[in-house]
Amino acid sequence: MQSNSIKEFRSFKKADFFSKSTPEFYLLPFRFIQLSEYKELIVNDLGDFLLVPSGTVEKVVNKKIDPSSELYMDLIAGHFISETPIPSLIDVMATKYRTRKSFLDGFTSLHIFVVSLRCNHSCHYCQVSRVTGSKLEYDISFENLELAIQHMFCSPSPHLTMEFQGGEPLLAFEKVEFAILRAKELNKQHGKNLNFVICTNSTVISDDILDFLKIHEVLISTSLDGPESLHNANRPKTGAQSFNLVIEGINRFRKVLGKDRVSCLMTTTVKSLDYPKEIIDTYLEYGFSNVFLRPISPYGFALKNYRKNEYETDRFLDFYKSGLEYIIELNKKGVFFTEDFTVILLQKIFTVFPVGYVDLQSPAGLINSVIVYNYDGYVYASDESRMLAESNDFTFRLGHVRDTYRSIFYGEKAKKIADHSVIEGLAGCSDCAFQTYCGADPVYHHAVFGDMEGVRPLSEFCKRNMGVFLYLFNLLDTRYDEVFPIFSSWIKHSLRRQA
Amino acid sequence: MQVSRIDESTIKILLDANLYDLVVIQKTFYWYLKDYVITVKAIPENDIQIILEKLEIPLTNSDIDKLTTRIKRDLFDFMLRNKIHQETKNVRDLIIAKAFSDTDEFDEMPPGTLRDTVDENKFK
Repeated sequence: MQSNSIKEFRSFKKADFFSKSTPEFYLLPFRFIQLSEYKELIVNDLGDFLLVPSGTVEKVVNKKIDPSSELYMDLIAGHFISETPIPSLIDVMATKYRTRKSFLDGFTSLHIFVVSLRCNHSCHYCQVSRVTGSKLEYDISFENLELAIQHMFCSPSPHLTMEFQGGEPLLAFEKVEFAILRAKELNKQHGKNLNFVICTNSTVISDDILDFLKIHEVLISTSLDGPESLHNANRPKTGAQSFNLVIEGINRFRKVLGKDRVSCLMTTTVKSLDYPKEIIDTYLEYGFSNVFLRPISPYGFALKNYRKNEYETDRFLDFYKSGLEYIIELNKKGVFFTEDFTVILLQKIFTVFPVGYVDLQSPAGLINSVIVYNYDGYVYASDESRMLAESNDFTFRLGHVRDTYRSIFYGEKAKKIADHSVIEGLAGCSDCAFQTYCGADPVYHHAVFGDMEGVRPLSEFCKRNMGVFLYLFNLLDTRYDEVFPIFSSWIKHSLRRQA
Repeated sequence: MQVSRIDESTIKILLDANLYDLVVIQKTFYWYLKDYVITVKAIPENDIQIILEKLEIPLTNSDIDKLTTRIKRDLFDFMLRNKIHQETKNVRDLIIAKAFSDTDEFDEMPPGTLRDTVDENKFK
């Protein structure tokens, strides 16, 4: 075949195009960090990343990259440089960016109903001011519950999750029952995809409750802090040992609702820091295939007892790393087990799909993704916001359920919060290599610094996230063949569950 | 860059304002806030003076050597970041405008037609 008969397609360039000796290229937006003595990490707004030898960024910025090198091709493919001032794939880049921010499309999808502040536990790290079980004035009224449900249906989101919290929500089960039945009734007009979750300590269960939860396909989120001695020390309960009751409760829920409808959360106290392996073993022993190694938050009662629970972020990071290493070893032995925070970050690093985790969103998840209707009818921007209100800080109180939807969700307070919710514009974050994967968390920074932006060099939130990101990218750099197949299986599993 | 000790916990740094943008200096020393009280001011002869006062233990000579190395590296990195930002801010704005546009106002015309998206007919 003669060369002049070869069809030319615009997606292919002629051979002489690749033989230019001094190609001109243009930078595309990206950020970078020195990952180790030998490596730099570069990340763009779309989440694409490259691990490159130290000194590469300087060469890229000064246009000293060999056009025949693999690095040059990687930089082109990863949207870090372009051969034209406006990259030919700019629409693809815009689509990736839009997909990353698509959590904004539906607006508020998670609606938390604090049906009661009453609780039968007295956990020292509790983030809300629990009250004893007899004080009925700490339950939400039916009138306020009805108004809150009406607000929920004003949300444009096609997916709505009603999450019932407390105190212990099952102590006010009649309110949960009313809310679910009323929401289902109203949903006949709205046609939303409606889900129900109850956050319970699993110690207040009856057959009637179980029957109702099964009929309405309610998901259970409960608390298990680790082995018996640790759990009971963290979560004291008058008259009985919490651990045995929780395990019994989990078994009853699973028997009626199904194993996959019951999940667990743990809170890391000072005591927990020495037992990452034992905590994971407990989760394995009781049939869970995941754990969320999450730190304690400085809100509400937790803030009052913060001295008791305070620990250095470095200690938490050691705890997290030990736990993750142990989980990686389990996976290498054929036991599928995941760490939830790692999965969230890996999904952000390796896919463009947003993760429903409000702490790591920009703009922040407050109002955009979550809203809280408190037991007294007041509406808060997030669960942490109402916890802050328990120590008389009402900064994130948006109004009352009696107010209009517009004044609550688009009012002056909502606008002020929005001003401090965009990580791309925050001092310290605007140049951070991990910006694409991280979040702003105005409530945390307000609680600690007294202003919603905070000071990143002093922020434990920043230090912790930065520590985890650095650790994960170092694993990918130095132990890729060992960890990537495991991480990849976690991401696929997570995406399948979300589908 | 000139570094000199003022007292046991304080050093003074002089930077040539022709070489370093103020924004680069501010962004660099922002990350030193955890350990130092920082004062930045312009001084005659087009220099910028930065005073770093250590919050806790005094600075040894070895500390100052390490600190100087770190500051030089951080200044250089923030100069690179500034250069990237200056060169790419318009493209970033365009990507974001395209991403959030509800209309096709910012869309590029795709090649070919609906039935021939790679314009194959042109070569037949």
